[in-house]
Amino acid sequence: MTGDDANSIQFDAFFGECYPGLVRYLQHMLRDSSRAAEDVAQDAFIILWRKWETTVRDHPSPKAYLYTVARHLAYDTMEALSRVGLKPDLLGLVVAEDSPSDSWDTKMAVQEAIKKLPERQREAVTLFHIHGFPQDEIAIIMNIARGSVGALIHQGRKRLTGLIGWLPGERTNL
Amino acid sequence: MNIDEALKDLGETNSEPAIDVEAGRERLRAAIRRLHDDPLEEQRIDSLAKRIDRHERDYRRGRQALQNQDLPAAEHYLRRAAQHGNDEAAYLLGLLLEKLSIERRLKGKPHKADKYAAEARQWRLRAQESGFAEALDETGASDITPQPPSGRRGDDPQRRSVQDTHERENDTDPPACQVPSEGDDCYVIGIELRPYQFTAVLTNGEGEIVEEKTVDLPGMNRETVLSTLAATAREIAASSLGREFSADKMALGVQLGGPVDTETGTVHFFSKHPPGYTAPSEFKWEDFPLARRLQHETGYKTVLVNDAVAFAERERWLGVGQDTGDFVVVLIREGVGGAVVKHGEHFDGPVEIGNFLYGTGNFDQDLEPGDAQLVGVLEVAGGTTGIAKSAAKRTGLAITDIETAADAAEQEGPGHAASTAFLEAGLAIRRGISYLVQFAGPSHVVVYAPEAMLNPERRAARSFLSQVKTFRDSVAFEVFRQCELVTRPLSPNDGAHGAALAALNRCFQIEPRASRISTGAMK
Repeated sequence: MTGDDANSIQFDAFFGECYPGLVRYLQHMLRDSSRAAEDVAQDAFIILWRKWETTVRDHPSPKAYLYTVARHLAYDTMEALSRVGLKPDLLGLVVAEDSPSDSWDTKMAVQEAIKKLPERQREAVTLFHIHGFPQDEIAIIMNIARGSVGALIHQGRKRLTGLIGWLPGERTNL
Repeated sequence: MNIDEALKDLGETNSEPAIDVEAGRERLRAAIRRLHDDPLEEQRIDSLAKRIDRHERDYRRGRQALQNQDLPAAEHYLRRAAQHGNDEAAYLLGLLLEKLSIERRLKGKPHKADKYAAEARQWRLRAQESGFAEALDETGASDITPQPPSGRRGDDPQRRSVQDTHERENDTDPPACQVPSEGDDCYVIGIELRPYQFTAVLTNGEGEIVEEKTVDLPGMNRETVLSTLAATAREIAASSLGREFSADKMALGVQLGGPVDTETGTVHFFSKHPPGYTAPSEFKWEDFPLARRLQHETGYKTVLVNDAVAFAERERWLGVGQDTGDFVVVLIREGVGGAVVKHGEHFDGPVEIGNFLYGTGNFDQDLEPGDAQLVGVLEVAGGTTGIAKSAAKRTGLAITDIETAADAAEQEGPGHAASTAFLEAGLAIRRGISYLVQFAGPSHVVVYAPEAMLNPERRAARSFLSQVKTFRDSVAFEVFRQCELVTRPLSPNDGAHGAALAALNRCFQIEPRASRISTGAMK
């Protein structure tokens, strides 16, 4: 970012590609706190910038690594916010509202339903369906077993079906 | 539209407000410039990166240990990973602790079984709340569920993955001591070394004190002290556990009031005023490899920690560490020491708070040197030696220790002036606490001090605490003022117990279990 060298150009392109998705992901993690999400994203990119030449550039999935770093930082932030009483929930059962959204807008309904999933199911479903990560990369990001990712997504979809009321599709790659 | 189509649609057409990439890019550029210009910012980022690497490693090691049936190591690493929000680790830890609970119950140890079961329930609840338990219970997790032990742990090389081998080769953590087959089969001896005296306690793998002993030392020649410590440790082990007890299942933890290097087990500097002794110290140890020498003499793995760190370890096991991973400890004895625990782990650096510059030229003590011969440092006013000296000067009485100083402060005659020495000590400690709070942002501050300084029924303590309790006024930002002050009167074996717990943790990788001492919190 400071010169015209190849690394800077590569990193700049990487930033442009990943920044919006990462901020959205962090906003969900941090309960829609945009400012905190941007701060965490910035720290995550700086950490990657420090390691870009030595570790990240040749990583099998720099994007998954970025999300891994950001996820840890977000957890620290949640812990800090929780401790000073700004956010009540650290470990994260998302409390369901009294009734599902009445909106006829399909996307809104799905978004509302996703918010009602337990935290890790929501995270796995979001990373898979919204951010488009394959399951092995989600395992890297969440630092869990590959099989657990599949289980979380499966269970999340099952719950979503119950919340929204549609029949699940025949998708078999879960 | 079914659920898959709806999710796909949601991913492709995001309806949320657009993210301003250019603004983010500008901010990042500014941050990178700051990184180049500001060494502290560079340090912060590198520290974050290291911590993330460690958290990632914890889970992988815990899982690997589980696969190898190395249950103590699995418990240790999974707990660390779970404490940092890894819900799969929480799920696995819950299963592991349930298994250990059943084993203990079958062995006729219901108390330990109950403790494991209680902790297992906590992690299980966490796994349920996060949605992990529901998902994994339904799909099965046989590949990662703790299996019945089969032979010696880790003997099967096929169970060790290439990734694990690679991690071990690149491991930057201090070399781990051998982990015993059962956490509660091991014992440790904790030693608190003070000038001309030491206290030793023997604890079991649960951290419970089995035996304790205090020994006077005729001198502080380091070779003589070394021999006496080694002989006492061997004697305690032999008398309590039998001469045939395996040295592999025994470890030593030693703590003293001075800077040490725990990695190499070296005492960098130890030269204390003994209690009631106000002349300059007559001994000085510098760069003495105490832990290595003790290990050689006894055959027991040995860990050396600073005294305040040992008290912080005690807190981690029995005190505020049960509620928080972020706390600081201030230890007041002849000098003043400090320790910081952040995210459940000890800060790896000196917290020589007693040697922070404090003097203002207002008090006589500002001209007195501390233990390290620095003039105008905090411990000159805040340590018990300094308080006794100040009280003697103010009253004209023969006061040589903290007890007689506190007794004098109770008097209505000339002795009353001794209470001013406690007031000044309170001011100094208040300043020290505010430094630590602004440095570490803890949720709790724990002050260990002699009873004379903390018992509110004594005038000396009231004078001291009247200042200490207002430490928040010296903290700049409201966000850091949200911390509790906890006071703990020193008792004779607290320090040795802390050293023993440090040895349990560092040599046998045993983590604190749920038990508690009264918090004594004050607002």
